[in-house]
Amino acid sequence: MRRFEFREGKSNKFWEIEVDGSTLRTRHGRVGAAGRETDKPCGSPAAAAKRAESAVASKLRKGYVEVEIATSAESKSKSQSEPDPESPIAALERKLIAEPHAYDDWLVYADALASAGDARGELISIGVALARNGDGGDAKHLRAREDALLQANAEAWFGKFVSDDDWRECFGWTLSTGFWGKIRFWVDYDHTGTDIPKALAHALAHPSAKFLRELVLGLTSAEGDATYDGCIRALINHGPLPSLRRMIIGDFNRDESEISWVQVGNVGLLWPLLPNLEQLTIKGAGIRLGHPKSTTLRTLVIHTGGLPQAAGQSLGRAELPALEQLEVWFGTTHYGGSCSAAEVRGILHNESFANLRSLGLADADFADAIAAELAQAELWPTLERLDLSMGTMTDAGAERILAAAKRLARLAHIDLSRNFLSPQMCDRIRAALPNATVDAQKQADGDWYYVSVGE
Amino acid sequence: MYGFSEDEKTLVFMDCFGLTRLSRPKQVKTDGKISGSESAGRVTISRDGSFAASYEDLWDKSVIWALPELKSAKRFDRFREKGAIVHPEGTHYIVDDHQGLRLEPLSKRVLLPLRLDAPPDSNPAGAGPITLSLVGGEQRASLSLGGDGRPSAPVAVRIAADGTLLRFDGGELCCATLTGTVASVRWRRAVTAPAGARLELYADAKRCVLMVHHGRRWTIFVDGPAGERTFEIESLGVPAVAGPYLAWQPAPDRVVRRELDGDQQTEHGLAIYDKKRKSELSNEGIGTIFLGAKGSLLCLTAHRESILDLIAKVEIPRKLPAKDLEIRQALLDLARPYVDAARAAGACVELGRVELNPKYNSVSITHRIAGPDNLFGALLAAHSQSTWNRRELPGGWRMGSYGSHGGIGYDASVTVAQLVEGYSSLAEAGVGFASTLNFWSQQFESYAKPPTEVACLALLARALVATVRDGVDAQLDYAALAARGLPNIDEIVAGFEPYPRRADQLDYTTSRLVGRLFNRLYGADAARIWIALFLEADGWEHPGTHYYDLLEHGATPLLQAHPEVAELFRGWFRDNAVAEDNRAYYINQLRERLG
Repeated sequence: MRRFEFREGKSNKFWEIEVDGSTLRTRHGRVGAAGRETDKPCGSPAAAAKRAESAVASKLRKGYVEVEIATSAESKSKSQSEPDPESPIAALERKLIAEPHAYDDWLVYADALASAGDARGELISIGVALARNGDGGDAKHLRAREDALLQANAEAWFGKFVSDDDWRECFGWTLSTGFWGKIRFWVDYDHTGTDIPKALAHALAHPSAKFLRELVLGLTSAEGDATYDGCIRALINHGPLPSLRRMIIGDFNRDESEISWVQVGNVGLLWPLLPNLEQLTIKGAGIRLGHPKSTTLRTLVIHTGGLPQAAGQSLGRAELPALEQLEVWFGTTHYGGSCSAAEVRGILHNESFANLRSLGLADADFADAIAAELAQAELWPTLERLDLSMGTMTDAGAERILAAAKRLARLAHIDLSRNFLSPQMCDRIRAALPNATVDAQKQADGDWYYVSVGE
Repeated sequence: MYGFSEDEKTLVFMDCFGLTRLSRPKQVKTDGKISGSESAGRVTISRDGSFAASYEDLWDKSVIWALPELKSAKRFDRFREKGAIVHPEGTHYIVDDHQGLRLEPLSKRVLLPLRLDAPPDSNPAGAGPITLSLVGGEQRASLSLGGDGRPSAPVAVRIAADGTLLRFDGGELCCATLTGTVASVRWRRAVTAPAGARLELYADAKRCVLMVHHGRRWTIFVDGPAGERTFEIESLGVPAVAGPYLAWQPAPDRVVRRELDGDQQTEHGLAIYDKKRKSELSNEGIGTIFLGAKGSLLCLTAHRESILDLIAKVEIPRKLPAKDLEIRQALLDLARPYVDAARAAGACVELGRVELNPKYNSVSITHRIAGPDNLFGALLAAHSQSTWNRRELPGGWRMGSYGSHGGIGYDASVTVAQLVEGYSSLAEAGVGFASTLNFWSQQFESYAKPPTEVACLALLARALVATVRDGVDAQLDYAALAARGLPNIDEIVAGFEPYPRRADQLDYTTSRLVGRLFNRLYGADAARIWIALFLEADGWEHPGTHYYDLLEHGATPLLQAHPEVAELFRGWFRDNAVAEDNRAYYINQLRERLG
């Protein structure tokens, strides 16, 4: 995504543009506002890129200036909450964000806060002691003191999450060295009116989230229409989250919602804001990945009943050199899936995945075609595990796997379970590939072959 | 239900519109997200007024509140800690679950959001639950209050400010004194009354009062300093008892309070005390009485927007959202006829939960329905559901959903005279036959029982034909209809001529009832009815549900029970072409079933 801003007189507006597969997506509005998003189908990625080029030229002619999206958001964020970047305390905070287990530095930080009269200093010291000693030693007394501090400072350390019943019951937290380590948001049938994006924005801006390491987004609505657009917008408005290491978008189970009822939205907007993200899990429908680019991401999990073609294409051009685990469910065309062998080919030929150790290309309604692609592809030398489960693979696809058995035999594990393999084929697979699992094969319903996760 | 602190400066109560705290004289706070039925929802308060507990009976959720802020101190998931009660000393809350009465510690700690990495030993030692032992005590002679059945206590555990605990298990009453975490049982006695009748409980150190509901009459039993005595009162609403007082509402415009140990009584009018208030709502009507042991006498008005202090003659606004006043009053106006009629019949059909969703401008309503087996009550309960169909609501509001908890049974051996009497009473309450169609549809389901007397079925058939013929608002003379006996098939066919145009105004289960009732009454002859109503009827705009039901509950079961009618249907198909309209799918289904 590229962002352009125009400031002149009373004008203070932005315009963003992004090519997502064959779709041209733009967003415009006042700087600081969410803006309005428009999608234009262009027929092909090339046509979309050409139209984007033309639109950018037009904006530049009108006086728009291109800005780095992260920089733009960062400047806003800094003006709101960051200390003077030159100060020693700011330098220390940066170090703690980079090295969250540098406990000696945490104690220095604790002393600095305590000497300034901030009770969080003591909370940090307790957190360090508990992290170092676990439940041994003086843990009982430390926890009691921690509890007393949390009670005494509840309002300052939790804000609206203690004063508002609904917000309190839609928010969970862990404590890591005196700050929130992990936070989770969700709604249930008791709190259908709770505005999760608003609560998320409040939490991200709260001092307790300064060193936030993990963000988990459960359902944003209990009425079968959950979306994450608002949460993504809240994250963008907040700006970079350099401390964040793990994020889950769509933390729910089947009792709470069908996977296809949850619309994820454009996660691609977040890549520039999460420079140190190591694990990302996305679950739901309508997933857009933009241009995945991260030097730190090690695990990417995408669970969906239907992966749009544009998202599959995004994975093909992703720049994720640290990625060790990629797990993708493709789903079915009945629930928004539009990927094909071409997108799988893109993934298998992505040179930035040179460190990949585990690859899942699962739950696909074109599993035979995936098998064909795998049979022809040069797999990364680092790859150890391959998951092709839960799809519609038949004996025809399995024949392709057998044809490539020599190359696949070196893997630690291949998962072919929950497909449509015949008992005879399962026996042949077991004989040729002792590293393969072929459990729980499905029976076709007439000529209907179905993925394990769709709706 | 309500609770007064011991000094009677704090009152907490709950109804379908919210949980309200009054700090006297006039400070009010209402939480509109909490609601429950007045009969079975529970509100309790500690003696010092520092804690309260609410239990939303229809939502099955308990919350402990810190007072006077009315800020939640502990919120439980739904279906957990059912019916939590605050210990009078404010040290614990008490729940009545399958293991008995259990005490859990309570404190004024700040309630934090859920800690995902809660330490395993976060419960301080010695702060675990305590089960109350209710054993022993003097066994008193059994008590009969107008019947030998098992009454039903909507709230089976009551604890007075002085620690007197009264628990009714459906057969036996147990009275104990709760001191700290120990209960000493004082006495126990079996209690009988008309089966299913509502039983209200009260006890303190000096007296025990039981109240049994028989329509407008309430039997009051008092065991106090003056010994045991039983008397009756007539009250429109639910009487209240506290300390030495009993209060009730003999008429829409006044409340009476009398001393339980004597005969002195005073009358208090429900006038408009706030002359400056903007709304013109009358304070008269069936309200809710809040009675204090030390002499407080307050009343929540029938319109539920204000509280009257009947001693100080002060009217206190309840502070419900002003913008929703119109819809609240409209809902009450719609419900009032059946709520009041049920109460007058000894049953309970009340609005227990009203949810106004401004996002979708929708209203959701849940009723609490309870009472002894009673045809009139059962019909009213059915009416309470169907009355919300297609009702116009003000301010752009629309009905989202309506439902109910509980139910009222009826005896299938009902006589036609009883049926006539029941429906005539309903007519007096403004309730017509059409809004009870769903009830009769249900009685013909496999798990239920329709009336056994053929004359009753004949009356239902007559009323059904008249309703279809004359419209849903038709005023029926049930005695005259009963006197005419079973309608003949020509009358039915003629009466159902407008059915395709009227069906949408009737309950969606009507065709199901039509199928089952007419098959039962006419046997093989009902084939003529299905030829007329199913094969030949014209003018259906939306036949879907109705045609499905006429096929599945009318023509098809008749074919199975009387195979000889197949020839009659075949003859029709030989002589007639099936029109290619929206009925064709169902009609062709019948043809296929003929083989």
